[in-house]
Amino acid sequence: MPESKPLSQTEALLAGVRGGNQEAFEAIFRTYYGQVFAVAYRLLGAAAEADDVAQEAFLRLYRRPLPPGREHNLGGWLLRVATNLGYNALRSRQRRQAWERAASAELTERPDPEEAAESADVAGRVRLALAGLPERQVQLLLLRQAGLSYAELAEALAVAPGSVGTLLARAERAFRQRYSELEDMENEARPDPLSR
Amino acid sequence: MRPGQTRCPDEGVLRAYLDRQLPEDRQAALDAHLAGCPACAAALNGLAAQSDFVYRALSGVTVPPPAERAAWSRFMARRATPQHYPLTRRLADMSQILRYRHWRVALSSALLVVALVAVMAIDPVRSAAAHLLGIFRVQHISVIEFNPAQLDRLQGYQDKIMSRPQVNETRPVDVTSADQASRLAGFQVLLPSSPAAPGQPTKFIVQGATDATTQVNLAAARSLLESAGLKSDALPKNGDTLAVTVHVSPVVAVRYGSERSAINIIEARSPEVDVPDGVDMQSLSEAGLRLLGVPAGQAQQLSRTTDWATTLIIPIPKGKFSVTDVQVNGTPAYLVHDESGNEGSVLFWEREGVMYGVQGNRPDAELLGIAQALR
Repeated sequence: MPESKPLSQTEALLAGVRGGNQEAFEAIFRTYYGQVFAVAYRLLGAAAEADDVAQEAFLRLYRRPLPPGREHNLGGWLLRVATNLGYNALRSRQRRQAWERAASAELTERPDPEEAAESADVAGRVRLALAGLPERQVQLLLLRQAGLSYAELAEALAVAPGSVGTLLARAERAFRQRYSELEDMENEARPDPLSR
Repeated sequence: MRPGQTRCPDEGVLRAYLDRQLPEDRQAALDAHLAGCPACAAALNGLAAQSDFVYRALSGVTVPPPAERAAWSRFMARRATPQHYPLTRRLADMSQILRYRHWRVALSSALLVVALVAVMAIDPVRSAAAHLLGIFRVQHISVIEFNPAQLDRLQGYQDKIMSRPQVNETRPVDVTSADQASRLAGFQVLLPSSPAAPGQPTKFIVQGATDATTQVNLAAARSLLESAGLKSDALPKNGDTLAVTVHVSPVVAVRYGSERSAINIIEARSPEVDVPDGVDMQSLSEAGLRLLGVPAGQAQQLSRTTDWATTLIIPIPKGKFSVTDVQVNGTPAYLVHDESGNEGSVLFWEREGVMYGVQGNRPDAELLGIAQALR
């Protein structure tokens, strides 16, 4: 996470935004865009789509003021919105692809190599693993990786501060399990050169 | 654990300890505990290994450089004139959908409000096709009741404002299974499962994609807004006509029973609309609400607090119809009754990008039962 600006500075910026001060909003945009983009990219794997999600998150901020008291966790708020949008987009895409695969498999009766290819690299496996987790776990992992403290996580995700440790441990366990399963599946799919 | 030691912490506390997120004194207390508790030390190592694994995998994704300055220019363009995007192409991938979302629903709410209200009030729940206009892909649906006397004023204008739409329709295709329908429609089609299933369908069609274009007479539209005391700056300043094209995705219609006692189920994704340059969708939506007689304060508040990108407000004429909030398997839904009792009721809701409607002249419990049995 970029070093948080002192509260009064962020407050001033947000006040400027509410007052229509474009420079203030640009300062916020330039400060947080990189981090928001990165989180969206981990979910979606494509720069154009990640940019779309990031832009949408900032647009929401632009259009409507933050709920009172949220100003000091502006980064957390942006990241949460971005993960929510990105997660929905990822799941829809996965559903659509699974649908298309099923439809084409019915017609051609050949196994589709696309799914194996998707998990053949780390980025693909990360996406597939995240797509299989409940949204809140995805948010916990990505926001923690972005450097949010437990207190910031609790606030951004509206959970009790004392529960962050438990929820995070569970999310990590679930991700690791899913990721390892994908690795195993991919290893099985790859033809063994020694078996000829 | 030896006497005098503190109790073993649970996993959540250990995890917080690992990240040094506990208060100072708690961290110190655990330092001491771990020094003398092999079980906890092992558990901590396990958590550490797990955490390392996860963040190493997540960091393994190479993120391209973000290019903030270019992103900011794009943001400014998007904020100012969202309809610069090429909206005439059909949506094929998710990035397109994210861009269109703002205006798809807002336009549906605004320009189609008149048509939708006319359909609901004049040709209510009578045929499956009538619901076509009422089905949009949204995340939230709101309903707002309005005084149908407002319709009278609008009716006189309707012919002057919009030309008869030119429709390129594909013939409906008879299908025999949900799988076949799903393939044609491009989304998972659901049918009521036994024992709620009302027998075999008497009609099962997929209406292919349809395009409808209408010419809007700008002078007449401006005059309507002005006569209602509304500003017409939501519309382009120049030009005489505005072409609006609606692309309707495939719609699936399933009918059980015959004619008057039939139950109709409709499933569809939302239409896509070509938004011409110069139309301010958000203001137009607010104007649309005002045209329906929603008081200025309420219309303004609605347009401010509604996220127009994801919410569709469906106007329901008071007196002719009544609306109840219900739930279908935990999803919020609306049950609209025809007050005259002739035309039955419609239950509609949205789930995962598809809108569903169950319509029939049947008791609520029966419609709800069918809706909940959709698989």
